[in-house]
Amino acid sequence: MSYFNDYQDLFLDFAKKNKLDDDILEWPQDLQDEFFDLAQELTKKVESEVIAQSKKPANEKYPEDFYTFTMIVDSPEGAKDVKVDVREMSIEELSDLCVQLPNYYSYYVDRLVESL
Amino acid sequence: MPEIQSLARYGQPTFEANLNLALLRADRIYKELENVQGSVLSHSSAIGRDYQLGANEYAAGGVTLGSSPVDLRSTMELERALMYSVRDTDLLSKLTGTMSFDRTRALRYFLDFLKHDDPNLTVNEVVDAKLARGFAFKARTLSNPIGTVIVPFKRDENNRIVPSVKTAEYESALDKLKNFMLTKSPNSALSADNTVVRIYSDHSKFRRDAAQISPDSGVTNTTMGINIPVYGTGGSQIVERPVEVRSSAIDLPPTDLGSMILLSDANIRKGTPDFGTVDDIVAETLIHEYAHSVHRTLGLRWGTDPKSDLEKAYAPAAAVSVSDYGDNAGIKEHFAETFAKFVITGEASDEFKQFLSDKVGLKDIDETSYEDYAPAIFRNREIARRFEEAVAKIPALNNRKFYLTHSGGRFNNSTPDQIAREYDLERGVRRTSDTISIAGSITDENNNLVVNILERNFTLRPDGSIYIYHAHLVVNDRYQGQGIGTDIIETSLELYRKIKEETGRKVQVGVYAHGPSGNGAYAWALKGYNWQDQEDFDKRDQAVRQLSSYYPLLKKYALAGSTSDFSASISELAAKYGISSLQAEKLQYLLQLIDQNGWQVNNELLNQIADILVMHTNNPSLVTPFKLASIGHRNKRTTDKTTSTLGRHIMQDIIRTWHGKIDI
Repeated sequence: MSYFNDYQDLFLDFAKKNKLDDDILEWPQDLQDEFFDLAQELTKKVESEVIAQSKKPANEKYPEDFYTFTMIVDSPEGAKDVKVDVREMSIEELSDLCVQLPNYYSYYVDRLVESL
Repeated sequence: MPEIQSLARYGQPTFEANLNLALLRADRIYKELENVQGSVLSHSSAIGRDYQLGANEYAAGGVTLGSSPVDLRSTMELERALMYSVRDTDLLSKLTGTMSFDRTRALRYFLDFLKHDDPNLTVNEVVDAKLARGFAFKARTLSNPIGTVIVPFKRDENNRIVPSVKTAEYESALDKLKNFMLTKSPNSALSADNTVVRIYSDHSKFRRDAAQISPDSGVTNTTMGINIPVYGTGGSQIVERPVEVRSSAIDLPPTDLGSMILLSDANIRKGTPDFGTVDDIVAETLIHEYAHSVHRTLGLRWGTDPKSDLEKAYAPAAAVSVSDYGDNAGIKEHFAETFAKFVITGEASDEFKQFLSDKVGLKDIDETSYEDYAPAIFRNREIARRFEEAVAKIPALNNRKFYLTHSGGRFNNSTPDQIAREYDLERGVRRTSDTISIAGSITDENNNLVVNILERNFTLRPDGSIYIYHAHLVVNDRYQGQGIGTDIIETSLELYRKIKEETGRKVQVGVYAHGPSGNGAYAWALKGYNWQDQEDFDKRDQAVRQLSSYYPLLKKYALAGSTSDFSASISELAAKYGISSLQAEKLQYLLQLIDQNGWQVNNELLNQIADILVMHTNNPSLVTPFKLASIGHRNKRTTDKTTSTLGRHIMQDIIRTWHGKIDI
């Protein structure tokens, strides 16, 4: 049995116990909240087991060429190349970049976590 | 960045003017391609009713200019350069403004455009080139042995867009192959979902692709047999066969390459010895090439070592003459010719059948043996009986007489004859070659509808697993709130667990999480389903990236925000928080949601988001639909159940639809 099977059983038991249809959005708010707490408890238990089993080395480094790249900037003299270093970007700039460039996402999360 | 630098191709004096022109042209071509897509879709005979336009064809929000969409991650340099230019001049906003899709998709389309556009061609010529390259069609059912067929189109004399190859003949050939594989081995791993059949009508294009093929490519999982000799105008043979293909030669993503069959529709000739003894040339050619995929699964030593066990096992079959070609061209061709003849005519030597059964695992299956390997599946009456039994045990239906009947409305478009042919009317069961659908309604003894519609599709996949798709369950309004839906699901799961135990097969339940305003995307997440396939993982990743961009803004707001921000302009927000106007625009959007839904933006919410961001980097599989949907559940001020939370916003507005699964 997997987490998702356990979750299904939790969901169905809860719905049956409270005589609810399976359309969770129609449940009264207090019962929705009660179910949420149970589901989160189950989820956290599974998460902590998985995380314990798959510890990753902290602060994995990225290759040097990951950090810099060249952008073409339009200037009065025409297009020219400008070197950019993502390490010099603010979290906000990096966040902007990550929306479009998924490769920087992990780096961004690392920076974000550092700043917490 | 060649693509960016190649903007000079557009002949304008400045970079910006070139970019502007390219954007205008991209927009115009996009609209033309959209029209073309409409025509292709409406052409019902393109490749038959079991096929639909492949997802790749929609990747950019419409049809792509290339034959496969640009992968943003593989064009990083180009993307960076373009993003910077576009951010500088806000040109992408223009593109996004003229097209009704988001920035990323607009960017993907534009990159695809820059990569493939030739400014020397007129817009019509560009579109016609795309028509000639063909559109990818995917099989509708999950376990169809043939995955993708690429069909070229052209304009006819009345300027209508029509398929330019004999699709009906290919469809019939694919059907022959599909039926053969399913009757010989429904659970065969040989049923290659990823097989791509690429059909050419353009002789020179076929020749060009074929010329890129190297016999030494070393690609073993990619078969391209060109069994059809291609003749030049002088009658000289241009293409030899068989040969291997490099994936790059076909311009398709490698994931689509299970095996590849290229066929030229333009030069198939009847009467040459190469086509063996079968009259049906199209079927013979296609199935012959598929046979190369089949024997490839037997290992690399096939055909190279006369002393191998495989060669010895095939020797008795090889002694039987099949055609001039098969007899003279070596063991692999002999196998392919014999296989094709067997599929089409049902004729084969006992020695060949023995080989097929012993070594390939394709043997005759009769009805009684069906019971052995899948007792509850693929026997209409058995599955219907089991399902009826299961539903009849539902406590909420206690003492009610139970009927599983048709819901008439579903079949409005079918003639009575069609319904009678496809459905066992007594049971409401429909069976296709690999799927059984049970569709019907549940009524009480007074013929009142209790369940308006209930539909479950049972599919036996090529890998032997059973996939059960929960298509519909609608409890009648009058009977809602009695737990009937819950009971049906619980009873169904019990049945599926029994099926798993009895058959020893993997059983998976699937749903399509969709609904009005994205409600379904949220609701199915709360019910504990997991993402089903790559498309869903991509959506998950996109949602997490969105969360990561929200995080710093929400953090700033948590520290310094006030209700006066709700009515602030973008420039006021940018000044107050020291952020770019782009970020201020996003913050303004978030503030609207915060205001409307009464979210409490506090540390608890921020920590929940940060947890998910870290989790996504280290253990992405833990970022389940429920995990996303539950963000901020406790962070709303009102207790109104319709009020959105951040998690609900993510599921409804970012994910919108997804496919869910539970492995039983």
